[in-house]
Amino acid sequence: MTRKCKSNFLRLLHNDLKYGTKSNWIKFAIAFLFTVTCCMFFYKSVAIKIVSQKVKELPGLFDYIVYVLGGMKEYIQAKDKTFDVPFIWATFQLLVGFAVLTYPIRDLEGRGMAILVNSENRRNWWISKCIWTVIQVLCIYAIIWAGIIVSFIVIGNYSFTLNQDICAEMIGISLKSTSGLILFAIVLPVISSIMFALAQMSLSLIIGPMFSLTLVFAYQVISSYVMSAFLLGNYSMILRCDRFVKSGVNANIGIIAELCISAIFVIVGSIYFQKYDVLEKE
Amino acid sequence: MENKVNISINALSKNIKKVTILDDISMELEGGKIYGLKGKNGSGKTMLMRAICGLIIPTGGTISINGELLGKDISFPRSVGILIENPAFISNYTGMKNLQVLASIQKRIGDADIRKTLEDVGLNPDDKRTYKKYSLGMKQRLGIAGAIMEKPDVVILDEPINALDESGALQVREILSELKLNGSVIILACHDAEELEFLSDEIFTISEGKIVGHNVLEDKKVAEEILV
Repeated sequence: MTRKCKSNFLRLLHNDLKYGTKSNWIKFAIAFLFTVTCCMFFYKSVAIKIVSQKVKELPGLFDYIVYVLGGMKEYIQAKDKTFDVPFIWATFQLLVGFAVLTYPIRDLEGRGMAILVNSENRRNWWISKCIWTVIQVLCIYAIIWAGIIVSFIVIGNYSFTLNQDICAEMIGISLKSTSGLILFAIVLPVISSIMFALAQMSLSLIIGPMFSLTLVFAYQVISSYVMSAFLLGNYSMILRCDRFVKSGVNANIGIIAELCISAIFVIVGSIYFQKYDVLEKE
Repeated sequence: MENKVNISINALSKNIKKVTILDDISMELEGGKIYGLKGKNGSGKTMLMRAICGLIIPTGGTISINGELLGKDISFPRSVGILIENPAFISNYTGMKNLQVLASIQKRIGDADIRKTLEDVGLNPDDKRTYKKYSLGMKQRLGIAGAIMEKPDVVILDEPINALDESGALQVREILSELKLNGSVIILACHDAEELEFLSDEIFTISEGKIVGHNVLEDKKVAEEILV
């Protein structure tokens, strides 16, 4: 990359990060409010369980983390058991999906075309959009974490232990270990969401943003229904990882696989975009 | 004019979903001239403009700009200003702010140049109104400003005088004359045949993706003297 090209790329990236991120402020606000609401609901539910003596203590930070970011335990089909999509987890996946839904494609219209032709080459534009996508995912999760921490501070029970009886009563699971929980709670959902967001952006070039969001979300829902190492949505749920539950998917392999797949989408998307016709949208 | 811009289009063709959009188009365009594209809706004018910008990839043929092949040596012309389809800017920003955002990519010009360009197209650089409150004519003027503010070598304008009043059309003529004197290649499409003939040095007539006519307009000198 020549020096001029590099400067141009950095300015393009700055433009995307500044204006593309500003356009997501409503989604960030929703993510924060939703997280806080979930934490408050969780606290209230546990408080009720304490009254009925099913649980001994109020939730600590680790409990909030597991509840908000855990996903759901493995679904095992049974006659008297219906499958419910894990609402909190699904909402966060959709929020990420909506955060990266339209900006890249919309930026190929109107003034976006002028920016594209000024970006000097198509690869610059694509890589800038990929970086923008990753940043949006990081922002969403930073806000979710902010929501958890704010709720934890406001509620006032400053405990940092994981209560197994809360897990068993509220989530229906016993974690075999909490070692590395924070690290995996930070890393797993983020890497998974980054992969899905990059997939969604790449697919939107071919099938449009709404169809790509639908396809990606459908895949994620199927992942929540079936626990399999090949359904990558499983790796975004702490409650499905072998580090924390007995029959879980291998989190380490999942992280590597998702990073590789993310790279593949970036590369394939770049190759496809080299030949992409920027036409007037109907 | 030194280092004249040169665009060479050879046997350009484009198919989209088995439909021929552009068919064996060849043109030589040089700096310091205004080229008009004439044709019915759907004849291929806008597609040709998009091809020259690098926005669509030809199925066959080549486009070279100053000897560099589009799609091979370069993805887009190195210095180009475009106004194709509706100019859509950031709705919550003023006109000045919108152009500052656009100019920040290449960083070739400063605020003073942007202000002058806005004045040239008849907009007030200090207008606090946001883009969403602009009239259609104002939006068109801002689109033109965005295309020309960096004094690009290649200027592509699709229906520039749409939604403009008489004074707006006159300002566009003056701007195009100035760009022409600077050595830019100007390619424009206009449904107003009279206006197109007045503005252009050469007119290409396009029908069903093919060039079916090419007029080199004489006696432009008189008209240019009036403008300048």
